[in-house]
Amino acid sequence: MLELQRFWGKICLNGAKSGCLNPKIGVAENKYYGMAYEEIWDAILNGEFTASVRGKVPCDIRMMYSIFEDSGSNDLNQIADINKGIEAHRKLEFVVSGDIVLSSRSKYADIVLPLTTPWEKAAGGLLTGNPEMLLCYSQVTPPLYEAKDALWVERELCTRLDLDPDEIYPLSLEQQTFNQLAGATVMKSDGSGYEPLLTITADDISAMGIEGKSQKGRISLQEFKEKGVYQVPRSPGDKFTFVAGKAFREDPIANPLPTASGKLEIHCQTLSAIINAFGFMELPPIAKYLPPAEGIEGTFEDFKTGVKGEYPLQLVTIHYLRRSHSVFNNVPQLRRAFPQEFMMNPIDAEARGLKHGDYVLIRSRHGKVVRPVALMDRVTPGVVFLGEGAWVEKDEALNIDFAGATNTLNGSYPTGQGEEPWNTCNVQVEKWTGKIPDLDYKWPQRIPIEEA
Amino acid sequence: MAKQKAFYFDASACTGCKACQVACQDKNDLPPEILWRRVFQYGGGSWLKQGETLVPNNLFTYSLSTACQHCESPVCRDVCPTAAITKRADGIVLIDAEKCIGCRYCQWACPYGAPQFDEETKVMTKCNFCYDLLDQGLNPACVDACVMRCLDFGDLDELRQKYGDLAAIEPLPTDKITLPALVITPHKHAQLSGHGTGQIQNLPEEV
Repeated sequence: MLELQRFWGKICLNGAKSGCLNPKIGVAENKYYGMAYEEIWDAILNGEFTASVRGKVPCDIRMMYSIFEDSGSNDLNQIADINKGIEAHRKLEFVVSGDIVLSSRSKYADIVLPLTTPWEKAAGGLLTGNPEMLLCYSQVTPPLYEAKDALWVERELCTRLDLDPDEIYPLSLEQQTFNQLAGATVMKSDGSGYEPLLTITADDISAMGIEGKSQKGRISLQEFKEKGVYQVPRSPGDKFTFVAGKAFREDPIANPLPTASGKLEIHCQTLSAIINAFGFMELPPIAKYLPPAEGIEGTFEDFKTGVKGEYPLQLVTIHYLRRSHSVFNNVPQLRRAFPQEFMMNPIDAEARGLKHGDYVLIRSRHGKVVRPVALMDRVTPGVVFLGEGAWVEKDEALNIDFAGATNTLNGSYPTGQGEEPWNTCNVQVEKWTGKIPDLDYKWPQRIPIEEA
Repeated sequence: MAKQKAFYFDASACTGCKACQVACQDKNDLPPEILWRRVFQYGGGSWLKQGETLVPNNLFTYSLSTACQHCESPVCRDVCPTAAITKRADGIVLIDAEKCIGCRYCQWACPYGAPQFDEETKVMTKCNFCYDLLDQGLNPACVDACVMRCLDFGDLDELRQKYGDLAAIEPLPTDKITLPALVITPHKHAQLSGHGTGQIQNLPEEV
C-alpha cells in the first residue's frame, strides 16, 4: 500500500510489502527511505522506484490512502504529469481520499471521506515555522455536516483491522495540542538559553481534560489563546542576532566549518555525494550549467543551428491570485476575479494570429489545455505564463484539460533530491477552433447532493 | 451642511489583488456576475529588436480599483426615467430597487461601469458606499479589506487638501463629465485619462 500520509502515530501494517516507509518513522541507520513525489505515478505504473542508495527497487502498489490531517494536499493536481497520474489512479485497485472539497485527488478516488478543516477542530492548533512568532488558532465551528478529523478516521480504521487504537494513537488531539503548547520554548532575553513560553495552571489543564503538569512561563495560556500570537520583542543590539560562520571568520584555524576541508567549499565533493545518493542524477561537485529537461534547449529542434522545434515556447507556472496553490480554486467569486488566463507577449500572439481574449490550445510533450489568452507586454517574448493550481477538468474524448492545470502540461523529471520540474516545460500555442467552454465562474460547483 | 463623501485610492501601492472587489461581494452577498467594485490592470510598452534579441522598451503596468464615484453630477440619476436614483445630502448616490424598472439607461450612461444589472431581480444595483456601515461609524468593506491600505474615504474637500485633486488616470475616463467624488494618488507610471498608450490587460469577461 502506498500511503501519502503525514501524521504522528505508528502504522503497523505488517505484510504490506511496499519497501517504502513513512520517513517520519524511518529507521535511523537507513536514512534513505521514502519515494519522491515526482516518481509516484511511475512507481504505480511501472512497478519500481528509485530507492536512493539501494538503487531501483521493485514495488507492487495496489492502493492509495490519502487521508491528511486538516485535509491538506491535492497531489494528483499538484504533482507533474496529471495524465500519468490519472492513469495511475485507474490502475490502482482502491483509492481512498479524505477531503473538505471534491478536489482533483478526490474526484478520481473510489471513496471520499469528509474531513474537518483546522477551524472545526475542538483542540485548535498552532502555526509554527517562524523563528520569532508563534500563532495559535481556536475552533471556529463544530464540525460541519458529517465531517470528522483524520485522527478519528484512523482510530476507527484500527478497530476494523483488529488493532488497538489506543496503542497506535495514545494521544488525543487535545493532548497533542497541549503537549505542543507546554513544550513551546522561547529564547531568554539574554540569549543564554530557552525558557517555557506559556504559564499553564492546574485549572487550564483540567479544563482541557488532559494530563499534564502546570508550569510557569512568559505569558499565560489564556492570554496567548486570546491574542492568537506571541512575537519575540526585538530591538537593535539585542541578544538574538545570529551571524552564521562568525567564529569561522574570526579564526578559521581554530574554528573550522563542518566541511571535509574545514573551509567554505566552492568545489564540494560532500554535497555532490549527498545529492547523488538520492539516485536521480550525477551532480558535479562544482557549479556548472546543467541543461534542464525542457529549458531553452528544449525549444529547439537543433540548438546549434537555431531551428525552433515543435514546442518553441517556455512555460513559467506562476502562483496565481485566485488561489493558494490549488486551495479556493472552487470559489465562484474568486473565479470571476481571476479567470485563469494564459499570458503571452503580443509579438508571439500576433505571430500565431491570436487576439486578446481568444481561446487557445496549449500543447506540451505531456498534455493539452485550453484557456483564454491575455496579451501582456511585460511577458518576455518566447515565454508564456499560466497560473498553477487550477483543478484539472479533463475532457476524456478530446484528451484536453479545460481548467488549465499546469501539471497537465508539466512532465515528471525527478532530479536532485527529487525536486518537481514545474518551470521546466516547453509548449506550443494555437487558436482553439473547437467549442468555446463556459466561463470558469459559471461551471457547476462540485457539491455532492443526493437526488431527491 | 453635509459634505460630499468620497473615496481615496492610492494607485502607487495597489497590487491588483482584488481583495476589495471580493470583500464587497462578500459583504453584499453578490453573485460572481455582479461587481460593485472592479479592479483593472492597465499597461503597455513594447519590445525593440537589438541584433538577434528583443529588449524591453518602456514596459509599465499598474492596477486601479474603482467602484461608484458618487459623482457630484451623477449622469445615472439624470437619465433614470423613474427617478429611482437619488443623491443624498452627504453625496452618496443610491438606487431604489423598488422604483427601478431595469431599463439599464444608467448602465449605458455611466462612464465608469458602476451600475450592474442583476439577472435574478432584473433591476440595477451598484456600490452604495456601505452607508449602513458608515452609519455605525465603520468603514466600507473595501477600505477595510485592502491589504496595502490603498483605499480610504472621507469628505471630498478634506481628501483633496490632503492628497491633491487628481480624479482621473487611465483607464478611467475624464473627470470632467460627471465630476467624480474621487481622489487618486497616481502610480509612478500612471497615464492621464485620454492620453494613454497602454491597454486594459484584463480579459473582457473579467471586468
